[in-house]
Parts: sequence; structure tokens; C-alpha cells
Amino acid sequence: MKISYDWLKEYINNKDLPSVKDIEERVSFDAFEVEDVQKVGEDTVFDIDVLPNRATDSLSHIGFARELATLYNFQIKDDPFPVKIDDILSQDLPISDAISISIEDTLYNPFHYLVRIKGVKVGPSPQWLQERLESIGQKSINNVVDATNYIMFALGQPSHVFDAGKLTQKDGQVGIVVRHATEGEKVKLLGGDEVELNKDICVLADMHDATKRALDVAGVKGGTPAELDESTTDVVITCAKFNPTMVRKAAQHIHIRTDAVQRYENDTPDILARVVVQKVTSLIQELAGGELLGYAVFEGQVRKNPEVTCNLRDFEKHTGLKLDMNKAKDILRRLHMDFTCDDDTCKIVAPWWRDDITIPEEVYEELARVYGYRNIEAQPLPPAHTKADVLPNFATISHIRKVLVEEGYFELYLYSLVDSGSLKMANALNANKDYLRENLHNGIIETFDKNERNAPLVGEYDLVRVFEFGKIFKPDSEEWSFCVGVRAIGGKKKSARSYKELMRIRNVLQDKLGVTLPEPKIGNEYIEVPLGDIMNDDTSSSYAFTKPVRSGVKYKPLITYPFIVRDIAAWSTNEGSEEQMRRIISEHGGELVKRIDKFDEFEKDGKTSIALHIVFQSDQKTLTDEEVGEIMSKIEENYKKEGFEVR
Amino acid sequence: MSQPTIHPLSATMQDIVRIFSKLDFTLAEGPEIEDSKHNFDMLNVPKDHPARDMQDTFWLPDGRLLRTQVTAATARYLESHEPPIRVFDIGRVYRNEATDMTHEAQFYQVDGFVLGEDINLAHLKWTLETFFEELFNGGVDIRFRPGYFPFVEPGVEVDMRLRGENVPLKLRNKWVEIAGAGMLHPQVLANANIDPSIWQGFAFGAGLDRLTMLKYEIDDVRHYYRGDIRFGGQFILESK
Repeated sequence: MKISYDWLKEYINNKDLPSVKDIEERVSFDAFEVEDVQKVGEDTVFDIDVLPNRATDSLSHIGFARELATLYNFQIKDDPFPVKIDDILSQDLPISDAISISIEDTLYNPFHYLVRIKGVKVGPSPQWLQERLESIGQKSINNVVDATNYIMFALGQPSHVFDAGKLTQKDGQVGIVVRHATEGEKVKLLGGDEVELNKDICVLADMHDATKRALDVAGVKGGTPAELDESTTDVVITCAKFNPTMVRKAAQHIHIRTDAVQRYENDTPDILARVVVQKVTSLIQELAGGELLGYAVFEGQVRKNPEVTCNLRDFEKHTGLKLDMNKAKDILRRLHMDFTCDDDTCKIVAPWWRDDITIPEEVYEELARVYGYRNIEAQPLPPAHTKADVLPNFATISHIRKVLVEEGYFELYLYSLVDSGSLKMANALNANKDYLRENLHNGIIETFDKNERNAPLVGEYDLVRVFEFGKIFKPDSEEWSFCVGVRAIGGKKKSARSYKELMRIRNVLQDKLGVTLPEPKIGNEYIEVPLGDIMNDDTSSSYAFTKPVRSGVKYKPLITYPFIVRDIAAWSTNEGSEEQMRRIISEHGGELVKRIDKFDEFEKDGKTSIALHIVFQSDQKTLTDEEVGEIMSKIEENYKKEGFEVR
Repeated sequence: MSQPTIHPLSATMQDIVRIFSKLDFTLAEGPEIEDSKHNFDMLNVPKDHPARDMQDTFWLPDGRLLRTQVTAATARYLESHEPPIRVFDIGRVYRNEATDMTHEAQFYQVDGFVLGEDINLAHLKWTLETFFEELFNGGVDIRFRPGYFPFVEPGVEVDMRLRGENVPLKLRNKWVEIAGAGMLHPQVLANANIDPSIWQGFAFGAGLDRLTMLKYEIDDVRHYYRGDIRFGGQFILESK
């Protein structure tokens, strides 16, 4: 919700209005999330994230102003909302025969106010109104339409205006009937969309028209039949409360979402329409002139907030905050709560614009945040009643992971949603990832080619060895699966080499954990098995942890340029030769040397042969064979200087 | 052969299991395919309520869904166990939304809750301070801001500020939004047949992928799930 700082001055006296910076900070800590603050001309506009629990009262400038009044403890200027419902109801609305209302479904539409004004002059809005609307990203249309929009963003209640001249008259009277649509009924909306309704959706219709044609989709958007234009002189204002669930469903069905829908679906207070219709009426008359003929009213039973009993000890027990009764009453007063208190208990009724306050915990939240969550002092948990249980699945996973990681295997986490399977999503956004995976090995096999190519970058030259634990899905089941995968890198006899390693790791898991994996099928580069099939008492009863990640290790972005591997083997007769060899390589390769891995070492005739893979890669570009060749020459030269005999 | 390495998500999960086991929290889990009852209804998110818009859901044709929050597992635990309870869950959750550097359609969450006779926000603060101190290996300040989640009341957004040399420079001494939390809503307890006039407690939840991102300065969450050994291969374990 966009809130204009200047607009707030409508409801806040200058002496009380905090600075922009102050508001930004304070509101973030004690009320709502401030997503953005923008300068718009001379004004500043806040973009506030109003969450569902405050959407009833705070999707408006008065709501936001009131929140500031609570936090900073000042009074609203010329408060547009009388606090007592009875005061609002006792103010008579002049009823007129010139306008009539009929509601077919009072569950859908429990409160409805119509006003007829004759002799308006539709034209451009005054400067101040245009600026106000534009500051919050709304377009100015004309003085009458703008008045309704302005009031919606000011006070949180939508309203709409029809051209009475386009409605069917009966003895000088026009009327609105709120009826259910017929299945498939079409309505052309303002702005051009034609929508098709179902019988659950209500429309505002022309009462005296033979076909009762629809003028507006109730709670959602106005239609074109009674649209205002410059020739309009006779208007009907409609301001109502609609059932939140029904409006939400209607909007979803026709795929139209408006600012009005957002307010209705969060359940506008019952009495708000009555308060607002009068404001809209006087604003339209102020801007466009005209003579008020009168009202037609349908009013159900106004819901009153329940009495909630709260207790200071209970408050402290829930929040860890201590409040004395005076401070508590001060906060309740700021919130316009109606209360009677004794020493430590208060019976509270929230003001009508806060219909989210129905249980003590909701009052505690108000007290806590206004008092300030910053005042909570951390309190250690008391000793636990029982020792924690071990979760067998996680325990088993942790044991197997530890063994495999120590063997140099890489763990993978792959996608649950893939392009084929037996369980399909009804509404996946990505059409290539709309089936739940039925196994892990498909995903693992897909990673082999790229991992085989890149293996030297992680120091692997013979085998790519990976594993994954994850859920697999069939229409009637979901289970933990474990898959270990081995791809032989380059060379010949790939499947024999994979098979050999898979059998080896099978033995390792058997020896270390008593875990028996099935044998890999010939030709398969993996073994997959349900976790439940291989768990045992030992793996299930405790957690195993690998050593921690080395201190200071941080992610480094993956380099997109190709790498080149060169080998160098040399004889040496000294101790510590490998270190020297590595030093020479690093010195002459510099940043281009990404890895040095020893792949062979043996002794013969009193000499030691040490063979190293060197992985060259540039962060900036693709290295050429020549560039690498040059570096290798220098390395070989320096090897010779140290007395290493290059093979 | 290269040195032992660990996928950073596993590293974080290990850390979390270690930290909470020490505090005597029991690890629980729940199914990834959930029903509306546990993912929404029991957590005080009624049908046709705007709060359901807060998360984009993957629906199955038969009315089941992929859980959008691991708190669904919390709902299951609450309905099948008697208080006092001290539990945490770790699990994969799903959101049907477009992906980018900080959003994936699947990710991990960690959730925790303590239910007792007088467990409150002060205990929550201590628990979170302890958790983040150990996870990030530094001094921690925690602050609460007003928040809203349907299953807690009061609800808070949790920010943390880390101090110390072991903390990544980008995070050091800066406030970062890190978790959601609050007191379990009495309706949620009642839905699980737990008497809210006797039992009360806090719940908190955080995105594990994000915690890991912050700890290791990973720039794109999609790296976690690409199956590229060059990614996991960076996270070398201590040798001694």
C-alpha cells in the first residue's frame, strides 16, 4: 500500500507529524514492514507491506495515520471515524423516493447505501486531488470518479458511481437490485474486458429494466452500461459491504483483482460503508456541485466486537514483558479500546475498525508491540523434561553420509520436480518440471556428463563418485531413497570400472555400518535402494557428524572458462621434493594453477618418482595450449635446476 | 583423490541437528506431499482466506499439495504428542513461483517449537540467540519486529546482527531478517487437542538455504540443486 506523507497531514496536525526518517524507522519496528521510501516531487511516498491481519484497518491513510497516533501518542486531527457505533447509527440519513434498493442475497451483501445527486458537473479534478492520486500511482479520471478513489485510499472503503441518466426510470425513480448472476452471464467492465460470470457471483443491476441488466460485478469492478461521461448530470453513488469469501471467489473466477477486491476480501467493518458514503457524498458535491436528493439504505445487524478479558500476569506469562496497569491503560487508550480494569484484569472491547481483536493474545500483541519488543530480555529455556529422541531416517542418512564423504564422494541435492513420472502437478508454473520424481538415479545420471568433464577441477581423474538422499514419489507412496552413482572418467572399460567401485563402496558400507546395498545391475552406473530397506539398529539410534567445514571456507563463483590439465613426473633423490615441486609450479603458474594433484609415487633404484596433474584455468579468458606450454617449459626448467629429473 | 567435502546444505543441517540436540530438542519429520488439513487448516489458514495467498502452492489433481512450509510437520507432531514438547523439523518445501538468484521452487526450512506451562517470547529470544551464535560462530543480537503468520499470535519477524571475526564481512554488524516466529496461536493448539489455557509456547522458522547462503556467501540458491560437483567440492572439511 502506497502512503503519501503529504496526504497524512489530512489526519495529523503538523506539530504531531514525525519526520519521514522517523516514520520509516519507527513503523518498521513497531507496526509494519516499510518496503520502500520514494521521493515523488515535493512529497515522499512509503510503500508499506500490510499483512492480512491488518488489512482491514490499515489499507488506508487514516489507518496508517492512526497507527502513527498510537505509536507516538497523539490525537488524530478531525477524526473521520466516530468511535461509537451507536453514534454513527443515530445520525439519520435522509431517505428519498428518487432512489430504491433491493438485495436478493443478504449474506453476499449485508449492508448497502445508495445516494442520488442531481445536477452534477463532471469535469477534471482540482490540482490537489490529481496530485494526491498520482502520488500513490493512481490515474485521475474525472472529479466524480476521483472522489470515490480518493476516499477508498483515504478511509479504506470502496464505492462506485453510476450515471443515473443511463438507468431505467419508473415514475422518476431509479433503483439498484443486487442479484445473483445467471450461469454464463456476460458483463462488459470499465476498461474493456468482458467477463463471464457464474451463478455464485452477484451483480448490481438496473432495477426497473425489464431484463435487470447488470451494471457492476459486486465487490469487484464497475461495468460500462451506466458508465460516467462528461454529459452525466445525475448520479447514483453505491457504497456497500460485501461478503469477503464470496468477493474473493468472484474475483478469482473472472481473474480480475482490484484495490476494491483487496479491501473487501479482508472483511471491511460492517459500519464503515455508512460512515464513508456520507464522506463520498459531500466530497462529490464539493467538487462537482449538484443537489442531494437522498438515500436508499439496506442495513443488516452491525457486528460488534466481542469483549475480551486480559490479565497483566497472563500478558507477562505470554510475552516475558512486564507492564504496569497505568502503562497498559495508556496503550489501550491510544488504541481507542473501550476498557474497564481492576488491579490486574481488563475487560476490553476494540473499536469497530479493529475487528481483528477477538482473543486476549491479539490484545497482548498490541500491548507488546506498542510497548516495544525491544524490551524483552532473553530467558534461558528451563531444563527439558525428557532427553531428545533420535530420528531413525536422519540418523541413518548421517551415518552413510559420513562414510561416503570420508571416501571422497560428493553429495548431490537434485530436483524433486522433473519432466516425467507418475504424479503430475495440476498447476506447475514450469511445464518441464511438473512431475514428481519416481527415483533418484535418473537425476544423477543426467549430471554425469558435465561432472565427468569437470572432474579434474575437484581433483578427480579416475571416477566421478556421487550420492543423494531424497524422497521419491508414486501415486500412493512417498519414501526416502538412497542412490550412489559412479561414472568412470574417460578411457576404456567404463562400465567395468564403475562396477568395480560400486562393489567396493558396497563393501565399505557393509564393513563400517552393517549396511547391505543390493548389487548394481550390470551396465548400471548406480545403486539405488529405499532407505527403509537398509537401516539397522546401529545406524538408527544415533547421529553421526562429519568434521566441520574448514574455517574460512567461502563460496567462490564457478569459472566459466575451460581448463587444461598437464601432467609432470620427475625423479628426485631428496626428502620434501613434492613440496618443492608444488612450489615451483605455483610460482610459475601463479593464479592460473587451480589444482595440483599427485597421482603417482613410487621408488626405484634409490630414486622416487612423483607425478602431478596440474589444472590450469584463467578467470578472465580461455587459455591457449601455447600459453600453458610456455608455463610448462618454465616449470620443467626450474625442476631441472632443483635437480629433478623430468620423465 | 580429493579431500573430503560436504554439500553446504548438509553442513548446515548437521550444525542445526547438533545445536538443537544439545538443547534437548527432538528432530521430527513429515511428508512432502501434504493435505490441506496439516498445511493450512490446522495452522489457522482457513480456505478462501487471503493468508493462503502468502505462499504459492503446488496442487495435485486429487486435492493434495506439496507442503509450502515445514510447519505442516509441526501440526502433525502436535496432534500426536502430549506436551511438554520440544521439537524441531528440517525438510524440503515447495513454492510454485518463478525462480531467480534468491528463489527456487524447492528449498529447505527449519522449524522449531517449545510447548510448556509458561514458555514465552523471552525464551524464544534466548533460543534464537543461542542457535544463531553457534551456527554463525559469532556474537549475536536478536530483535523482534511485528509480523504476521496465521499460526502464531503475537507474531514477529526476527532480525539478527552478527559480531566477530568469523562472521562474513558482508554480514558483520548488519541487521538481517533471518526468521519468523511467535507464540503458537491458541486455535492451532486447540486444533491439535491441546488445551491452550494450560499449555503455551513459541514457534520459529527459517529458510535453511538462506542461512547457508549467508554463512558461506553463496550468491545464487540455484547452485544447490544443479548437481555440479564443482559447487559442493568447494566445501572442504577440516582434516584434523
